[in-house]
Amino acid sequence: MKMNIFNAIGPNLLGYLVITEDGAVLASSGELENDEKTSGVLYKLINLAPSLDPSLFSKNSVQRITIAYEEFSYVVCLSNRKFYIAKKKL
Amino acid sequence: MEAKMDSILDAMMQRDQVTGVLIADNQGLSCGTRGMAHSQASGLITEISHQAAKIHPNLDAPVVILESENTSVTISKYGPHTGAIYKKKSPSKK
Repeated sequence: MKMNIFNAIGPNLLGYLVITEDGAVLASSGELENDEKTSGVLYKLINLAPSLDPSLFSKNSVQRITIAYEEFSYVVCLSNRKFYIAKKKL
Repeated sequence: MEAKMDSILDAMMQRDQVTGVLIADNQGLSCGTRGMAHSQASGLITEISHQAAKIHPNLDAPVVILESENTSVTISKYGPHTGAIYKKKSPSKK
């Protein structure tokens, strides 16, 4: 089942993941389908970010995390207590 | 070496919208900071960079950008050093 929310990214979308605040995978597709390793690493990264500077990034103030490689990037957004992760071609 | 690092930090601070700069070594120890970047954050900056590199260990380490409403922090690894640039977001980009 393709989640409509990711359709807006268009043909550059390589895959997506939706994970809960406690790390459980709710949905996955494309190159990220059943990719437990990537979701585990991204979940650790998401939990590290607010510790960086609590005055800058309180628990719920990190709006977006981008992990940019040369040819693609991962974009993580928090919404409705879920993390939406898109893998995009650059 | 230290003078060169200081000149890099000072040059980065001169750039538009930059509010802080930090350089850490491979072990997470701070090599220098400017502005609102705290040296205590150096370990976390290095750890965030190491974690992100684990997604694709065969590729070059990625650039990680953390964004909140008003601030963004860009973390990049170059050789044995990891750098973080704190930037204030311009109102037009909100």
